[in-house]
Amino acid sequence: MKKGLLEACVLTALKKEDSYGYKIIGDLSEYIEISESTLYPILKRLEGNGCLTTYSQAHNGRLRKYYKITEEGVRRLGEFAGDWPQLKRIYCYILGEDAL
Amino acid sequence: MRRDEFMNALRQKIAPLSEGERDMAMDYYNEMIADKLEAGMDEEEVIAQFGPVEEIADKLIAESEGGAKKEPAAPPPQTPPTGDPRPQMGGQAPFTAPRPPYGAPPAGNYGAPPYGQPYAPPPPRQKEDSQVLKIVLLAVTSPIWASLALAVGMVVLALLFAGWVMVLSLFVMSFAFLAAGFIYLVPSFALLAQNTVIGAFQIGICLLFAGFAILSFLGGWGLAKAMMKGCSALFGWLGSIGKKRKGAAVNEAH
Repeated sequence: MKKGLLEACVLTALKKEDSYGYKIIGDLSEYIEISESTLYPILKRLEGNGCLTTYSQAHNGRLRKYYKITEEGVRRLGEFAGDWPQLKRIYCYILGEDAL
Repeated sequence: MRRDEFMNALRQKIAPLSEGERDMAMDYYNEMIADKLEAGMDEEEVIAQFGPVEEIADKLIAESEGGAKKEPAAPPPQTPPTGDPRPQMGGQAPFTAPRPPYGAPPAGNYGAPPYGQPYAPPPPRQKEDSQVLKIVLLAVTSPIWASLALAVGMVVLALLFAGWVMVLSLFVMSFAFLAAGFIYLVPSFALLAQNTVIGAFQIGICLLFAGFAILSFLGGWGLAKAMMKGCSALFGWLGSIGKKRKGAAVNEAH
């Protein structure tokens, strides 16, 4: 479940704008702390699922890899958002009715 | 640890990966380091933040194998400063197979085998493992095979005993017939003089007994030879097993 959450977070960061590894971690750090070694497989998997594409751009004399969300990625995010009502119910069940 | 130390160590440890995967992983970390240095961080600090190279390598290898391996053990948790509401994530919670968001169908297979299918079998055991396993199995099942061996041994002994007893009784029978034949032969000539028919009949009986005597003697002799052969084969087989065990023990002692 947490992996799904992290993927959704990464996709959300990319939905706002194309980004790169270090920046994604930075943008998400306000909400969750994600390590480099955790981000890497997530990015790999999302690329494998067609949720994002990559391209390289020159930056300070080196090549930086940028990640860009795809339509499929946007669709997945929509799916994830659609899960919220059910997720909320489950959390209410676990934590008690008036918790959320 | 410095940057090149880290990158070299990482490259070594992810050697099992394909060249493409290795390059991708190296590029990713190189870029990460470069960005962090640009942001003003200290090189040693950047490397230290990554955590142990072994764990990074294990994760990379596990991901490339489709997640068939378990996730590596969680590194010691980085305790946030008090009051920090951010949940700690990122490789710490040792949960197992990744799960898709609730209600959503699995997004790709996350490296796990399709639902209902078993995982790939574990790598073959080392030779030492199988030796220890053999000994343990022998010990544990010893009540079964030991009593079985004992029973078989008893049966074999019983058969041997029966065989030799048979031999003995055949010889005894032979001797008995011979003796009986002689005893009847002696008066039979006198009887012959008196009464031809009865005398002849008696001599006939003696001859019959002689025949039986010879037959049973031959039978006993033949059986005795067979028993001798069987016994020597049995003892030879037992002896060879003993020698094998001894030989193996001598070999293992080296």
